[in-house]
Amino acid sequence: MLFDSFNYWLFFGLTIVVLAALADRAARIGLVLFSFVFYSFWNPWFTLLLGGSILANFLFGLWIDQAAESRRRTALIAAIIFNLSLLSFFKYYGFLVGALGQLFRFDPHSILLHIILPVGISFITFEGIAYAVDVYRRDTPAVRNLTNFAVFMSFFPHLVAGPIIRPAHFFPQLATRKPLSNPDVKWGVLQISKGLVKKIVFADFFGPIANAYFSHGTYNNQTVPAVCGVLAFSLQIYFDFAGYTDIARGCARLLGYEFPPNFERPYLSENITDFWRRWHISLSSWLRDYLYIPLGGNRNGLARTYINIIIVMTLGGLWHGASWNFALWGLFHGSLLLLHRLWINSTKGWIGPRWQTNWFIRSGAVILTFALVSIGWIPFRAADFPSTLKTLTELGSGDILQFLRSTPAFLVLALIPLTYCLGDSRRKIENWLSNRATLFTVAIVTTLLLIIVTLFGQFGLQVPFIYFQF
Amino acid sequence: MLSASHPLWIHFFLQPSLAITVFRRLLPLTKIVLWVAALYVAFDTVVIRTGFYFNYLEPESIAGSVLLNRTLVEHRVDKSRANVIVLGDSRVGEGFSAKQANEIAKDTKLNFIGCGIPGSTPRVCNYFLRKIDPERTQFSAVVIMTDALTDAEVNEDFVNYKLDLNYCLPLLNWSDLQSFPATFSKPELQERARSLITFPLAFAQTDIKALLLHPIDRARKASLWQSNYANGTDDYAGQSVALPDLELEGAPLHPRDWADIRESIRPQLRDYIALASGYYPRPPVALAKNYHRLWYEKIARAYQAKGVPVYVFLMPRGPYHRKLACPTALAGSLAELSAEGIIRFIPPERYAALEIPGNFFDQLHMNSTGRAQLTDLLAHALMEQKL
Repeated sequence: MLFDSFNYWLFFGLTIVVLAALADRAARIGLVLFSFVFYSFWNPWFTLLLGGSILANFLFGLWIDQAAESRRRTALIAAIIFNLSLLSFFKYYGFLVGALGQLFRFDPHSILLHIILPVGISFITFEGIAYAVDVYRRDTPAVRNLTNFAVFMSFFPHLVAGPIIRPAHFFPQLATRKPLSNPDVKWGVLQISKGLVKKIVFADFFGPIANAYFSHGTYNNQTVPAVCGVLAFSLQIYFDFAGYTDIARGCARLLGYEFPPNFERPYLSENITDFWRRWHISLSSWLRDYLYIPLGGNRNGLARTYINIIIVMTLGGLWHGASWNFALWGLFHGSLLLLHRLWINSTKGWIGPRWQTNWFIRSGAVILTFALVSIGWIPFRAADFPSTLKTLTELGSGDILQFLRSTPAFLVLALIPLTYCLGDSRRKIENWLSNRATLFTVAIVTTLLLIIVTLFGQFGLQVPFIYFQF
Repeated sequence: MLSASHPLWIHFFLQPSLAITVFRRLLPLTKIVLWVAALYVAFDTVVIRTGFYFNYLEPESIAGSVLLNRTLVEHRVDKSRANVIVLGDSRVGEGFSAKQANEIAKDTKLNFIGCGIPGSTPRVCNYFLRKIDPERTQFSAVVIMTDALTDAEVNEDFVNYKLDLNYCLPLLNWSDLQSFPATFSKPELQERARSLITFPLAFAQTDIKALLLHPIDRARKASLWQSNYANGTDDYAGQSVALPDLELEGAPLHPRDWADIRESIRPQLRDYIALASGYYPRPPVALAKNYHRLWYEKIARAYQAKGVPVYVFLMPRGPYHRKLACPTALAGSLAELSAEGIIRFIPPERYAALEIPGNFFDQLHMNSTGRAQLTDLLAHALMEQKL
């Protein structure tokens, strides 16, 4: 059930009405049931996996909490192994067998299991690990109420593609049932409308262009130049994932819960470190807190810091999927982060604040960062290494002007959000709408956004959200 | 509302005053949803349902052709005379001349209006007639073409004819939300039909985008076409080209010599001959039968209630039908409807006699010679009816 489908909104409407009719505790049970129904639309059998994972992580939490000091670490390791085993089995079994087959020269097909990847397993796993670690670190108490824990793990707006929520941020929200206030409704409805525009108008426009390039096809009978194909994918993945996140956060808020932000205009970042503070924030902060810091972070000298960055980013890449291309993408970003640190360290003292605030230099830095991030998307999107190399070598070729002439909407749709973001760099419009505007004003804006979706949306394509596959 | 006498489990699961609680909890959300719905419907009503947008629709589009024909009918209806509408697809446009028919019937009170909407089907005709004549009082007779004397002759699955959706864009309203989608049997087309009625803006988005890009050019073009279409149609004399008599051979049958046939029509002519000679499979007869019965009966019943007869005539089916000895007798659903007195089928034999290459300029359409003969036949047939 996709967020941009009519069925989802019927389901969501029903959920919100039923939950409003239920008393506090029953509403939480209802929310878990609705979440399981939502998950079962992909494959009813996966609900067993979800249920099993919830139960196991709940018990691990209690074990970690109640175990004697000497056994707590064992309990934590058991919880991590459980979660990683689940992820490895479903996501990486085929990949590992294939890699071992290549290494030891045996035919991997005989032991491949052709497992179907359950949607959202990567997100479920990360939340399980985060919970176990937080309980171990005593950052959050172990939850003794299975219903509350099931809400945390299965809450449907974030179930299949995040954002990855943190126990310390989410569990306090379950303590009291917040009434649905006017600001909540305004914010939630605006986020949902914004998300629908991002997905249906922008992502689904750029998606077919990227697909045409990467599948060697044509778009409107035109060959897509490599640069346009890569840019199209850059824009598609942002609008697709940010659109999904906006809808997820909006839905959660209308149900009485808050999710952390996942994107903060990442393509306006001035350097790669800044980019990772603004892109998929819930994943990058998870990697920082549960991988980078436990590896030692930047506490053990420069060399060790750099190694840690490379390890974290490569594993972060592999988290997206069982493919060397994702590892390459992670490695590329790790290297960029490392180079940026080297640059910062080596230029410390001789680049003054005047240079850092110069508008031209800052704009150049934004363009350079965007270009590097876009190059990074090539292995992420390409099928394999040869395709990646081919795309890289083709970047200078192709008749870009002819393509842009035949597809003027490409530039228009790329420039509209840029202009909006530059014009409202401090998000004054959004904040005013959520906090100070009347419900009626928000209704007018929402209607306008829906009219934009109706008139300029790409319907009938059924392009799934990219991050559903992770 | 629940009272204290209810069992404990009810209080556990449900709020004590359920309706009030739900209402209170969701009040701001309900308000905003209702406002958004009202504003969206208001916009949709102003732009689409009032017909504002259709004034600027691309005239050379499918829906545009429907609107041009509506304008033509509005121009040509003469309330002081007995208006007879002759309705069908492009074959009516090419094969029937209202001007000539009115010349033949000048001593009567008949006023012929020719309405050939290219690519239209009986389903489109039904909704078109409802749009141009909602009270069913504009016409003294409605004359509709058919290109199949028997159900077995129907060559496409018209139940699921996708283009009908485009034709019906300017013809439907909210009251069709249940009935119109149900006339398709494929779920995906039913879904599209529903969204066509609910979100016509989305359905017309390609045209609206083009309109927004060049609004002034479009407004000029639409106005020009609307004001000139009726006269242009009247002055049209038909195509002068005629097809040659051909020797057919082989399996599937095909012309022995293509030399005299224009390059541009050869593929279609090849398909036509193969189809007419029964080489290609056709959709199940039962499907065609139901389709015929549904739409011809629907149109006829609507007019029957106002005492207006509905005639059906055989549009000459193609240039080589006589050569291929295709059936010339009426059978199947249209024969049943005629026998039941629901429609009046004009005897087809003399129309089938026109199915010779000298009367056609391509595999489907009659040329000026055929047009003159068909118009003459139809005009006289309807004059005899004493309308």
